[in-house]
Amino acid sequence: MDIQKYLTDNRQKLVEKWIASVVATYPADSVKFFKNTKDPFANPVGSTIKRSMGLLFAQVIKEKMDPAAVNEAMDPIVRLRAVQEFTPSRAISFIFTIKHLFRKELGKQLPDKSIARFLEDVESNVDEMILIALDIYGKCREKIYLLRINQAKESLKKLLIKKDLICEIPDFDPGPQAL
Amino acid sequence: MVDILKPEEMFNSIDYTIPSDRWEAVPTDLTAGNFCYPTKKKNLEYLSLPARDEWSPADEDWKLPDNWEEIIYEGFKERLEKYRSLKVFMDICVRCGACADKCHFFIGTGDPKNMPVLRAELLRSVYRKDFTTAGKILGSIAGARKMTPAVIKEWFSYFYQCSECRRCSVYCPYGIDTAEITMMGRELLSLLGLNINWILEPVANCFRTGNHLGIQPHAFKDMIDFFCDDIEEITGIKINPSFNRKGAEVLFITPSGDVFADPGTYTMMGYLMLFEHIGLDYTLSTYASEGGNFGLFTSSDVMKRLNGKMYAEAKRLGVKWILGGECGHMWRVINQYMETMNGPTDFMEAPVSPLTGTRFDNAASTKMVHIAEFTADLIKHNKLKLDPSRNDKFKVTFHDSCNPSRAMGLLDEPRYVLNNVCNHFYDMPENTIREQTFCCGSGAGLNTEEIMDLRMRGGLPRANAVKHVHDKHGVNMLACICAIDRAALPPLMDYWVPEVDVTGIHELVGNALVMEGEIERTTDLRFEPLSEEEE
Repeated sequence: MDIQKYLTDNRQKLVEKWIASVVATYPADSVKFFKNTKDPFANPVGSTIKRSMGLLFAQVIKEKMDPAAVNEAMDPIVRLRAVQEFTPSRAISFIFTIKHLFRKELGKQLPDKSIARFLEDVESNVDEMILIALDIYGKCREKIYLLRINQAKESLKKLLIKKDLICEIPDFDPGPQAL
Repeated sequence: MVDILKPEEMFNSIDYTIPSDRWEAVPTDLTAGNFCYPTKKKNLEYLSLPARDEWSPADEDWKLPDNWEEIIYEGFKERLEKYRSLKVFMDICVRCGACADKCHFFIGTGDPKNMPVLRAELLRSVYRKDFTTAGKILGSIAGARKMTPAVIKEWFSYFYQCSECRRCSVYCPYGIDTAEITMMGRELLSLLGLNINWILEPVANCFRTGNHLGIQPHAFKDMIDFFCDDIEEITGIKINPSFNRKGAEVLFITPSGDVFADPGTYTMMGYLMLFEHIGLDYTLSTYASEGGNFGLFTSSDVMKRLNGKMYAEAKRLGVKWILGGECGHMWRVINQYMETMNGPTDFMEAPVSPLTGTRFDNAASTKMVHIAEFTADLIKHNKLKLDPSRNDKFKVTFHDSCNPSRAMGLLDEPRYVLNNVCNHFYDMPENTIREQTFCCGSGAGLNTEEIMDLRMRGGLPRANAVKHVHDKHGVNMLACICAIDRAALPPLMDYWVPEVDVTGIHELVGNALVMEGEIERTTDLRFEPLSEEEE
């Protein structure tokens, strides 16, 4: 079997299936919106997923991936899922699905050595992608905590600067006449 | 120990079918990080609002008062009788779905309860049960549901996931204003003492001291003096603004964020320079030292009490009219509610610019003019000498703040000003600006750090459009006319488009303004070199 021809012929179908597995991690009522709304400004989540997945697909089928390109393609989708309500594992689990997609599609032709070799490449690429995604996810969460700390720290710093000038509501019951 | 699924189990668990449970059956997630911290009791007590002992939304039992159902029923009934709009909004929605995908929180989360239609349904379903014959008889068949503590939890979660930006109402063929529905939902929750601290603390501070942070009069003056020292260092011109001066022509009121929070402080410097340059007869007030009004996010009564200070101070000082700074929700309060709440303002005159003679008829009722209109008018009449090349290192785009754009139609004036004070201006895509603008994701009191994740996903549509002009045109500065934006957009940019900084438009005016007698400028108002080469 000519694996390259297979990939060219089936690329769109495979990418769409992979995208569908990501979109399915969102509430059922939103799937239609994320899938069908084409305007990237009206639907940044769906368009980010589509764009990232297309670029990641181009890398995962390579014999040797370009780590910089994977990183660039991975960043937007992981940055997005890092602030949506997913557990860390669920946020990056979508990467694994491509292994199963290919296994399902090509599993019966495993005796073909070129297919076996291709699937091995895909699986090792997926492993590498997971590690890259994990690094990005970690950085995103770190950024969120930094933003939280900075906001708290900034207000604290200002308070310290204006020490003795701020007058908070005291801890006492002023009674109705005070108002 | 958390149950960790194996990848295969996880994939097999993906359910592609529409859930059999109705939306009412989906429980509300109130784990830490998904809610704003509740208010401290002392703040409620200070405002004489229904107070309750310390609690957490993560608690299983919220320990509602024994008669909570009666309180909600009576509160709802009172508001339906008082506000015709609420009654109409409860009755007329045909669930066409035009609003469904217009909310930035839905777009960023995919949570169906963030669809404006469903957010309203949280209230509407209870309305049907308690106030309509069909709902009373047919129950769930008529879309009615009984009020339970779980519904209260759901309200608390989702009415504090709405930033009252009103983007959805632009698309509603009936003009249903979901912001007003959220406001009613929050008012009802407030009757049970369920408020958030990030709103109520500023409200209490505002009521007592005059502004959100509780800056006392002498400190307020000190801060302004500090800015004047900076202006002198940059321009060589000493400014001495007056405070609480009776007989001034104009009273200037701006959000206190401009006085204590960067980058708003640079915008404040821009105002001061502009007023000095044109010789405006104005005064600042340490009593009405807050333009913002978090009462809008609490209840109409609280909003009215806080807003009352503006007219009271204008009357006491005997000014002719009021000029207001760059703020968002402040202008919804002023433009839509102030005259009704605290008018009539027969002690003032319809505002007339002393420099151009322009009479601001649009503000004839409120007697309060937005500074973007005021400055645009000055520029239009060639009253300002401007050197836009001083802002040449900035490639600027403009975020229409929700309230000035949708609540008062201030769309062209800020752009006119920007196009005159900088040489590189690029608008974001059409469906993300002007009346269709996307919220910063942190409005209506949600700009608090404990819900940073929610703010990031709610702000995604705005950040996504900024990223587009950053990638396409190299935009590195996001201008806005709202103090909450100036606080909320920097972290949003830091997460999504870290190359873009945030400014108020009068900071750029201050940079470009060629003041009489000034020394040669070498830095901008942030004490940074005027051009990138010098950095």
